[in-house]
Amino acid sequence: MLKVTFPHIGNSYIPFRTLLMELGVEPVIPPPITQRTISLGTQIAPEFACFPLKINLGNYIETMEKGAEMILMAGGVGPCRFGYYGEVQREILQDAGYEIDFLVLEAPKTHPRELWEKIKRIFPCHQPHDLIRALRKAWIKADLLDQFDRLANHVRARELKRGQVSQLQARFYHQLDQAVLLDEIQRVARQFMEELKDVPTRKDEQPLRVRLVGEIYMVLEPNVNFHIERVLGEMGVDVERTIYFTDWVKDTLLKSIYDPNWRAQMLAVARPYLKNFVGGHGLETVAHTVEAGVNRYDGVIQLAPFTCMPEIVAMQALPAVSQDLDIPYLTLIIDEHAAEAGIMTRLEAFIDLLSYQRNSRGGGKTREVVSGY
Amino acid sequence: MKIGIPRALLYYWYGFTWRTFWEEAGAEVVVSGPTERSTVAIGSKAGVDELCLPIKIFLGHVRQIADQADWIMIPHLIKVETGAYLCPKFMGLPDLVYHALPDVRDKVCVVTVGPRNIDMLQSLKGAALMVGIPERQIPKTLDVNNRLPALYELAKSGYPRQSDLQRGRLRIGILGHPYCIYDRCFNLNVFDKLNGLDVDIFTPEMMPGNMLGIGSGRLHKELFWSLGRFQFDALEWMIGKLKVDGFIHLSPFACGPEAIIGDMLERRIKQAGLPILKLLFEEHSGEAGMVTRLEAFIDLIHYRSRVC
Repeated sequence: MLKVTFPHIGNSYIPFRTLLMELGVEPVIPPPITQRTISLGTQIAPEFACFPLKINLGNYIETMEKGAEMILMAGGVGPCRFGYYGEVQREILQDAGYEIDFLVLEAPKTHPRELWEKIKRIFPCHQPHDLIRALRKAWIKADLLDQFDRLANHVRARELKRGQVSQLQARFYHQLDQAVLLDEIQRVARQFMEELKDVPTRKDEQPLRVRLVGEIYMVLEPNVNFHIERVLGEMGVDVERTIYFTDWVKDTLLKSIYDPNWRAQMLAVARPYLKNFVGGHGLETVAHTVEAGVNRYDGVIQLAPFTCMPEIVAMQALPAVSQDLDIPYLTLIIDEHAAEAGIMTRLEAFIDLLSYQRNSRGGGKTREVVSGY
Repeated sequence: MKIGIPRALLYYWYGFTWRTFWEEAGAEVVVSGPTERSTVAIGSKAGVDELCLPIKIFLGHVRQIADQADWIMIPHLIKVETGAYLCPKFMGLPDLVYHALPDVRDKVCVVTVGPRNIDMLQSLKGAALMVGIPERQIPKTLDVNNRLPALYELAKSGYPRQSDLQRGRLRIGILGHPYCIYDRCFNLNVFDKLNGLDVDIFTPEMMPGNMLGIGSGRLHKELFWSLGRFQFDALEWMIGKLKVDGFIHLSPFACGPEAIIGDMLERRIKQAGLPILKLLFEEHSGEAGMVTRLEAFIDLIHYRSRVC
């Protein structure tokens, strides 16, 4: 069986494994991202390429050690560098002496048939009903994962026994990854959702609410962003992640077909600060920060890889948003030199400031009592 | 009415086009002076640290001509050809200016080209109407392929014309974005240094129009950055037609597209068996380091050409 691999991005390896299995090839899951992955990738990547590209390369090398024969990668049409990743990575790997096939999934240049021919050649189960079944199953898994994560972030901030939600989350990932049949998938999800809802929580105080914005890879991949969601959650902060894998797929793949103006709302929200799309998630970062300000969140944390162009444009706009809407924000730029201690210190200081600000405004515990608006 | 045009970014491509347009429309044009250390200082103070040097220089120029002009033209170039962008920072340029220099906000006259309509004349017309130029005065034609400002800047540094080329001199191809090549403050006057070393230099803008699209067309996947495409075309021209002896690649520190393009260019140059020197510039670049590397590089090429 053809051994196919793909780069890590958050927990998406779970739906991807299902997808590839259903299509009749053997998935090779990259080992979790470690310092070794990063250094392997950094060695052969161009110095100023963005961090995700380097990690992808590390993933590829580690999966080739496990016997992968083909890499599945997404493409794009710019202006973000992500669209050209597949091409550059292919050249870099070739130069470094690795022989491996690339399948870049992107809108075909000449005719829709081109993509179909590629798929037909590679996957043994390529009949329309096979494809639909595979996509459906993978989508259900991805959707359930995102539902669970959303709730988990909410509960984690209030849990009584620290670490309980994270443990549950790890168990859920494992069980869902193992589940094959649709019934099984649904049952696992139901069971863990129930367990998550039953986690004993504090009810007395309202935790700080912080929004996580920024570049998709940095936000989604916990091994790269130093498990920021878990760390913040266990500090007692209700983290709202603004980017989810399923949302991204829905927006970029589906909505751009049936609703070409899907960005209209975001553009309208960000308009006073950023007037047009700047590639990547730059516009989203500004729009979500504005939303956070309007909805009285306590703070915003922006995550970006070093030299990320769209996020730099957003960075220039954020001080104005922060001042106008009175929303504190913290920008964390991550690359292979980022150290955990530095990130933790800054996070702790930021959270301290936020809680100080809330208390000095007469918020905190008493805020629940003066409800009414 | 005075229209200020910052001498930065793609001024080096479209500068004369813009100038002629505004002059024909009856406005007085003020172009900011060549970049100086003070421009860089003003720009880096205004923008966030993470911005690249060319954008900081642009901000510096905007600040410097803000007092001399009634309107400042901000070229908002999203796309100048179909299927290719320039850079995300170009796409957000007006907003970068608004946030970095809030005091010039009322003077800004944005010329947006793209993403759907890439006709620069129409964009300029819109801008002219916005600043209050009557419609009958607005010119009906525009020469957008006038890449003279770049070569003009080059000629100022004493670069010999095509007819002065001597046999047997080393030929060095310079690759990079136009605002890296022709801004003499940005690249610490690399041309004067090279002239002193007795070599012929070639830049992408010297490429004849019939070479456009050949080099970039050979790429496996169509490139979606105009400035990158142009460099691949130039590379093809320099290796195939000019038979240059070596390349110097100029790029700003932490430039996004150049991280990818530079890597791919380097790979192709190595495949052709030619040497390449990559120079990165930022506001802290020191001249001594660059001169040493340039001299060593040229020596190396001399040595190579003697051995082979």
